[in-house]
Amino acid sequence: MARILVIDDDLDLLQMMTLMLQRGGHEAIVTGDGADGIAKARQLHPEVAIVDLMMPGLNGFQVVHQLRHNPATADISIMVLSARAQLVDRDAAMAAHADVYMAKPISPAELLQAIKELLVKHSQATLPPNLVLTSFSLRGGVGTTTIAVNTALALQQAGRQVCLVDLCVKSGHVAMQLRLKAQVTWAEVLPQVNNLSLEATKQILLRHASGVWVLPSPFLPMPPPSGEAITRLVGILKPEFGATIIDLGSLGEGGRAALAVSDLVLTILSPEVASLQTCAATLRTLRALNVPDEKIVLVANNVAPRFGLSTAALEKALGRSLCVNLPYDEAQAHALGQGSPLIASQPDSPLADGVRQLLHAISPARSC
Amino acid sequence: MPEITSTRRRMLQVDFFTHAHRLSTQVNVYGQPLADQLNDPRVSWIELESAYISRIEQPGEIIADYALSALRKGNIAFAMISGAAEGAIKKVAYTSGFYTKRLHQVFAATGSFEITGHIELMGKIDLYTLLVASTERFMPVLGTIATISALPTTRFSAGMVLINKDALEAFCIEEKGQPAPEG
Repeated sequence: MARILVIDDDLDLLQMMTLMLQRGGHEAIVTGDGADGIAKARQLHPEVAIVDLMMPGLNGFQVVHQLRHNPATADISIMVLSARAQLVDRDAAMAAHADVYMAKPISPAELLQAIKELLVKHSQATLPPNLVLTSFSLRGGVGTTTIAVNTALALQQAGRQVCLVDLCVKSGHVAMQLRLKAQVTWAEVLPQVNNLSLEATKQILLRHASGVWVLPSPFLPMPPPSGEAITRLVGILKPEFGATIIDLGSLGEGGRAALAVSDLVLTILSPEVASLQTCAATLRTLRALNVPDEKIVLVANNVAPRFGLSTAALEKALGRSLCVNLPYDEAQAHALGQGSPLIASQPDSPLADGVRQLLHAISPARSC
Repeated sequence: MPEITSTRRRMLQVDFFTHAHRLSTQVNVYGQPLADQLNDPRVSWIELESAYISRIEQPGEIIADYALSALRKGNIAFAMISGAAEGAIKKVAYTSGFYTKRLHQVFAATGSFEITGHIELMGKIDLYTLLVASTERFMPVLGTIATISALPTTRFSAGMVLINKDALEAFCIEEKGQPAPEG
């Protein structure tokens, strides 16, 4: 999941950390020497560096200082892990610009949780400040809405003000997945494009308990919104929200406009032949619409070990890498029924983990 | 799942405080608990491994480190043990008798520090025995907070400290105490 550098002069501890990090799905790079750690950080650019304070030669404070003051390593998340466990030690580590301080001894669960939080924080910090992200597939049934909803909540949890726009023209499910009752939808406001304003839009936005604002879709099928309306809508929302997430249901004029104004387009598929074929068609369509390749993020959803096409087969058939595999999560059916997205109701579930991985993977530092 | 901690056997992580310095270090307690080493009257120094030195005015900042060092026991104000007390003191098995163990709140002042915590005693408190007659130079105090007198916002907390009685300027104790938990 992430590349983690551990710098600690206790060689036995390094062995244990390697094991724990690998069990947590991470790549572990270890060194017992501060200077070597800095060299490895420059060379391998890990997402997280775990630094001991008490090391001979360069001590942990000096290592943190050097990592922070080198542009090549300044954005690495730093966890100080030390047996110097007093409040003054935590304060000193934070003053040296570590991101988090943990005292030894630490349990594997605590360690992995702290890393998870660091990775979310890191991806949040490196994503564009007013992100517009569209979740899309030419056909339904692959979890496009589920991913849009969970991604919106994950970004909100990470501290962004998020607006989730359900642009589906045939009875979208965003409001249902969030157990919100849509009184007014975009069908009432988008046709009057000339009167579209921030105030008018805010009046029809619903507020989910998580803090996410939602622009719901109409219950009955409607003509797709115009490209002009979508461009104007996103133009209004983008400066107001830290992230605007669009669940794109169709490729009408409005849909094409949404793709054009998006920073990233999550293209969703599931690991089966029909979905693969649709995904290939989706990619071809996006290219035809001049959506740049670097905007497209391929996401495999409902991936289960031993079932369906392998990641390698999907990548070979599509001719490009998958950004992330979101696992099949049996709790999702219940979450849909309850109107309670997994990222909020079961933050440790496989899907919630996968969505956080997705955020991490789309941060520019990783850029899949 | 086991905790990730140092797997070096019988090494105890200790912060020694003198009136001018904090030394974060490891002490080999393979043969002898730390208290026994400190209380051994035949040796006036204690050997340390990998000492990381901070000035008491800036106790979070490491100003130097050395692989081998020794500390004069008489100049130690107290030794602070962050983790479990195992390896710091000998476990004494008390037999049930007329007196029960009680925890007494204490306040101790050394030249630079104010220390609060609890000591475990049986029977009536006898300050002369506790501070003078007892041959043990270092006294265990549990659930401790040590404050630098000149920097009252700078505090250190630990499950146990061993206070050097020779460094004490004042020692105050609550008379009645509370029954100590079993075990």
